[in-house]
Amino acid sequence: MKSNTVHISSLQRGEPLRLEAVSKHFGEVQALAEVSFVAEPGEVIAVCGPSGAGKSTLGRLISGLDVPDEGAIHLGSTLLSEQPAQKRRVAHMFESLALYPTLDVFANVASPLKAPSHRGLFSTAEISSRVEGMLKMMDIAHLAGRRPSELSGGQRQRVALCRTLVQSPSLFILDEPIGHLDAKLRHRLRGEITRRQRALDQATLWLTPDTLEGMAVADRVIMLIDGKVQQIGSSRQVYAAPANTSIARLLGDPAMNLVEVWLKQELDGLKVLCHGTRMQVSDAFLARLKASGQLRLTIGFPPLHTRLDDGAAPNRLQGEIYTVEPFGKYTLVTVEVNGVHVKAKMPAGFQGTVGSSVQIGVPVEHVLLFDHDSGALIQDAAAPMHNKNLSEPTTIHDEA
Amino acid sequence: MKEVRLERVTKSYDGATLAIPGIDLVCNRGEMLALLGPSGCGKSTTLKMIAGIESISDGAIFFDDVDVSDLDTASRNVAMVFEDYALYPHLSVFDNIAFPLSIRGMPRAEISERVERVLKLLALRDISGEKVQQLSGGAQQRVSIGRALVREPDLIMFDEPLSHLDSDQKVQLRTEIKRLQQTSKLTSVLVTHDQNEAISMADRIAVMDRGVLQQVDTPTAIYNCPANIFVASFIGEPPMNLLDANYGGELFGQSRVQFAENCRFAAGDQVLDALQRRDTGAALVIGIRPERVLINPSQASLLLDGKVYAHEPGGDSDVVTIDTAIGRIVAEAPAPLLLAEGDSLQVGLEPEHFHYFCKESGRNLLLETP
Repeated sequence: MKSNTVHISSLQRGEPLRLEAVSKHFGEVQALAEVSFVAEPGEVIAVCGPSGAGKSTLGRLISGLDVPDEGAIHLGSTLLSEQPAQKRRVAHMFESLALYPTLDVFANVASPLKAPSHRGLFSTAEISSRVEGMLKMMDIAHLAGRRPSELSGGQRQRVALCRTLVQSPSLFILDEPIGHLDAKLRHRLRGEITRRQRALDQATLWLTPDTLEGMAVADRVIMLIDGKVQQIGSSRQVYAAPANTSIARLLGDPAMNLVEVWLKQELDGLKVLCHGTRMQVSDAFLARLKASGQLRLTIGFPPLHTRLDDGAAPNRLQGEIYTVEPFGKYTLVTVEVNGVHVKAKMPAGFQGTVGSSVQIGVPVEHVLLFDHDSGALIQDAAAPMHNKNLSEPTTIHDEA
Repeated sequence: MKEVRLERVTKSYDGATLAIPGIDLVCNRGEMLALLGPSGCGKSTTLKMIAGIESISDGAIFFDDVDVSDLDTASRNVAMVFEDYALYPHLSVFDNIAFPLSIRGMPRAEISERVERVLKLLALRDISGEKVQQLSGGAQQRVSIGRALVREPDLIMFDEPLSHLDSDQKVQLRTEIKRLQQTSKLTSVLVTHDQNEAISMADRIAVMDRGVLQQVDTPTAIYNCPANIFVASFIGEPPMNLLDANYGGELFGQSRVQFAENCRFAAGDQVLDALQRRDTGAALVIGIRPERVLINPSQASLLLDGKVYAHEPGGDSDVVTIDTAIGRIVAEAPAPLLLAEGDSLQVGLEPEHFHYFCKESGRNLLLETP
């Protein structure tokens, strides 16, 4: 017993989680391929990717519910992947919640604190106050006596979240923790949870298909697509310079416009075609495209900076208005260019007629270039992330 | 397609309590009407009552001028598009869409003509021979929309059609449904808990809470002038700031409103009229959208000292939660902002962007008729 207590207290201190080339197959399907990263103590890391990317599998390998085919998982000096699940002390919130149907809300949340992993850590009074504090934070204190079957989906999700966060583990894994909550609660909780987790000594992995949610909560974002880590960086880094078009498609609301351009030699000089439509380009932008050394490229630019009806823009494309969606604070306009859609976030009052012809002003200072075949980002010198004015965070203090 | 009208429709499951205490609602011919609200608000019950899957307890439902209240689902000519597509996985795209026609014994030539028309409309021609289980979620949902359209129904019901899709496919299909709606003038009812889907696709939105309609209007009108505190906090992301305030009476012809002892301002004429008309107490709730909150402005009508509680980077904009003397205020500003937890800053507010609610009733003061 005594040695066990010592063991637990040594795990109380935050230790970095380190994955080394972790791979997992399910039959023919490669769920994870050589996943490596480090999560520092107190760090919140968002693992973002579409459904089927391997996020939940990654969580299950770390908490010991599944075994990697290859690779190692370390927590500090401990080889976690050699330990049985119950010894790993990972607080894992499942997407499926997995609440005890016969226990009430309070007992569900208190259950891990009474398990062997927490033996000797908290007195009965401390358990009560921890559970109560957590229920209060999640606005479900009034439901303490209810069974899970008497709760809505959003309430059940909050119970599972409480049961995970109340623990004193060596690591937290939150699998889509706030996906079923309404917008108001989601916005409040994501701020409060991350504040709390950053103040702790343990790392938190926050798994989500919602990249904007991941960016909001995380110190660093891991982009996981098709079982591979495609990029790791701060929210700002990933957003400013997505490593490839697969990542770019998952970033933003809506994601950046991606169109294919083709440099074509015509009688009167080098021209740019975009999905078969002539694109007007400035000399400077043409020079930038040429400098990539490729005749076919994918260019990406954010809807926020895309302008419409700007016949005077030096870089422009002609298209036809496909839809107009009036979101209170802006109007999202989709323009069709030869079967390809380009989106522009216009001011709230924007009036546009579906079917009318319109000029798309391409904001070249925000354009990223991607390799046409591989989709990889081309880090050319004129790319926005190298432009000091754009990449520097806005200082918000007045000059006065 | 037909106009759908609900007149004083109620629903009770146990004969004692009313899940839906009484709804009056019209879905005009050629429009998409969204039923939007949190889980348990009654939107799905309403959808089922319109479709005839659930009986109504009282009132009447009309399709044009025909009372369909006692007709079963099959007799109402309503088509459904489900959250989980509900397609036949072993059948091709073509056969899935043709299915509702072939089980009715329609002649093959006619089936083929109708299906071809739908395939073209939904850009499914290239994949018409493929088995649906091989398709992406977005493509499968397009097939299920095709299966609904091919019957030429009087009404199409979309039940959380985008819930199972990844974000990029969601945005794509959202645009496609919107386009289909605008070009084909379908009469449709959309049920969703996701405000973005409702705002993006629907012509009008019926916001529901606890079985009661809270507001029925265009997305723009609801965003700009929410009828009550529930709608104000439910529509908009991040949600609207709601701050307690008091009406301090009139001074020199101006109505004074104060958040706290040292934070008051003079409200405009329209607000003055509304405040003086009220017979409830002086307690107000003032709403301010996060994108209207100014961070370190050079000037503003109201300036408050604040401290950063949380800073969340976003894509186009960052969200900053700030503690002030009048409460916690969320601001949204163009990204990236150079801010950290604990930083001091100034918050600027402009009364022209305020929404005024009665604290007691929750109603928007400016929407109350004299």
